[in-house]
Amino acid sequence: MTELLSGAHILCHLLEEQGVDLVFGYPGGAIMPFYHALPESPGLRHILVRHEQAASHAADGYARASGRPGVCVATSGPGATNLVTGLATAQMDSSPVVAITGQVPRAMIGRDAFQETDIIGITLPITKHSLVIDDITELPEKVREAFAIATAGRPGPVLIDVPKDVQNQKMEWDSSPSRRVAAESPSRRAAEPPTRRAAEELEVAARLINEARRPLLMIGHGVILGRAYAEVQAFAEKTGIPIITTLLGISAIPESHPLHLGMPGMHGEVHVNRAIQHADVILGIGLRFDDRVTGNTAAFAPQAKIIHVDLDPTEIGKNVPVAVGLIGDAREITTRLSELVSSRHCEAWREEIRGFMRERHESFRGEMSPETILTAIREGSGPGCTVVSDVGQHQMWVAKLYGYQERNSHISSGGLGTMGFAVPAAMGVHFARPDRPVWAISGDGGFQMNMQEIATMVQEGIPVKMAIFNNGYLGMVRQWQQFFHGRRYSATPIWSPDYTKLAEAYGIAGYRVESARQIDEAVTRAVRDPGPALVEFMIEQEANVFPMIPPGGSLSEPIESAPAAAPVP
Amino acid sequence: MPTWVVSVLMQDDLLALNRATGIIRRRNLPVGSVSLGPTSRAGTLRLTCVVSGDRAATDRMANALRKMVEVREVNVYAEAECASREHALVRVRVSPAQLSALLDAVSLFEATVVEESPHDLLIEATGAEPFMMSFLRALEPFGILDLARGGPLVLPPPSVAGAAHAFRPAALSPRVAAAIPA
Repeated sequence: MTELLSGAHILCHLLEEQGVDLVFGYPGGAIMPFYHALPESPGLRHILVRHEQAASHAADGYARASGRPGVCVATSGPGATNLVTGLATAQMDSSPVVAITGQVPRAMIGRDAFQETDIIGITLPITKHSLVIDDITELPEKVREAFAIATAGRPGPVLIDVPKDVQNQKMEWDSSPSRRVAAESPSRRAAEPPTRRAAEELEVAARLINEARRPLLMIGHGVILGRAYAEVQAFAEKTGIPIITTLLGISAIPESHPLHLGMPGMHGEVHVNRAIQHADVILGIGLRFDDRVTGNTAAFAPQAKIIHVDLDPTEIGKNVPVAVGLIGDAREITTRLSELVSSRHCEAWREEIRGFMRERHESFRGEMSPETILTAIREGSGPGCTVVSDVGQHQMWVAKLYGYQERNSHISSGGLGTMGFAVPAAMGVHFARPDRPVWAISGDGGFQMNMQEIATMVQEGIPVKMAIFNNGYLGMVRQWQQFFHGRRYSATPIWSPDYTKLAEAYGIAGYRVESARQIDEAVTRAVRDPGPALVEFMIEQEANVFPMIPPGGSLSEPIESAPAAAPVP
Repeated sequence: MPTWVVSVLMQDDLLALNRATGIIRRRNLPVGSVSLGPTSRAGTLRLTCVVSGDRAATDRMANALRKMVEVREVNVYAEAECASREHALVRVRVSPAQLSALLDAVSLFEATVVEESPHDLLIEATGAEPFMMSFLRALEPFGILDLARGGPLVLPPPSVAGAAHAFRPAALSPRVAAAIPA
């Protein structure tokens, strides 16, 4: 049975049809018909954020934690432009976000109407695809297409721009459940049979791996996105090849695993980078050999033949020359490769890597080392906890020192490096894993970029635990100034409000921790609190992240202590 | 730097064109010319872009274009291996005394007079880029009043056409897939 419905009503039905039950958004003039229709779809829960940027990050966090598309909604003009940073973040990290924006009525487009902005034009380079709904008749097809594209192959953000008068247009619509079309999920689609050439390349790759004396596995976000955890681990165990996880590959394999080495690159451990520089074959799965991973590409892994597995053919050979490129799903290719490689242990090579290891030497005020704090958070939160980090020094500590054991339990803005990501993204993670603890860990800089979202957490009952690593500086920039700009701390000292009073103002629990003996109690109380809670850790002001490869430098030349007298450029 | 012809077959759609030119711009390679026109397939445009750069950078541009949902096929050719023609319309000042000299030039270059008026002629010519340059040099002494030049239209030789470069993106949407003839 059909009924005459508005575009806005049909849009809500289409979201439900696509399996959406949660929308992060903020109303405004050009999206009002959608908000008018929304209460009639009780299956769609709406989370009112305090700034549209938070809506896009929250949708991203939801998508990363659930593997399903995250949806955010904003009005035209400023509402739409506020989504931009979140979309760029999702694009860089291949996260399936669907953004719906209101647009001024079609007759007003191009006339600089109130709150008109060319959001499609603005977001072209930072979305996987974008669609304008020119007429209500296009709505069903284009919305289904948007969800299919966002999740297909290498995921990414898709923006749908809906003029207000199209939301108000009416059309006959059959909303009975039998009419519903499930979102086509091409990742579940039957795989194309491998071509002969692909089969040959697979054999070449297997031969390289079998003949290698110092092989390494480097795994990235693609392993998590492709849910290839078990396959990659089985491959590593069969071949005895040590595993390196990029920033976004962290938590693809438990860090207690004997083959787990750590994170490479700019802040990678010395033994990890040294292993790369000594490797003769590197099997990279689902990573893009980003410059923060490779340092100077001319000096990256000079002895290694690189085998690159990626779903996206454009990644093969983009940043580093490869010996073999294997295009396809991480799970499938790893499985096929596993069948072709021979079992062994690589014991001598692993022993050699152990010889590269270094001890950490740094003292922290009040013994508040990042490791002590992060261990307390891990132990105090119990199993199943997800950690969402922001960007900067704390992000590197959280990446390297937390000790992730569970799959996809580390979420961070990698490619774009978006400060202010953690707090709103953690809200999205909560909805994907409602029964499990979620920590948003930020610095004092990043926290202040989106701390308005505490109000969202209170209003919507989102029990995210927030940790602030407060050193009174924009620490990572300060560290660069110390190392490369003659200690000129230009615009990096940053004042913070009294966070315990801020917590009090929002009506949530807030704790300040000034010495190591207070850590456990504050963490325990925050975790036990049924609502959102905030813990501020007063850490060493000039602590640095070591080791560090200078930007553009070679992985062979790490900085392991602060330069005594840094040159002024 | 070598010169390459990047030939893109894409959906006839302004937003798609916007997306494609954005991708070309973001690769930051020197672009010699861009031309656009319909093809033998309905609803399909050919965007032809001449760029200078190393092969790897040009391939990165082509690969980025291949990821576009609206793009059906992208090929990269060395400029030298392609048949390439430009088209020009030139309005030239002419006095009665110079008329026969101008018509001589027109016939020498196998050009055509499209319009005539007492003071000027509108001349049309087609040819490869060097030919076009000498044609324009020949007209210069008469006084070129106005000029419209299309970028090169390029077709690869039959042996190269449809070569290994073409592939469809994995993320082909149902709507776009339906639009592509099998």
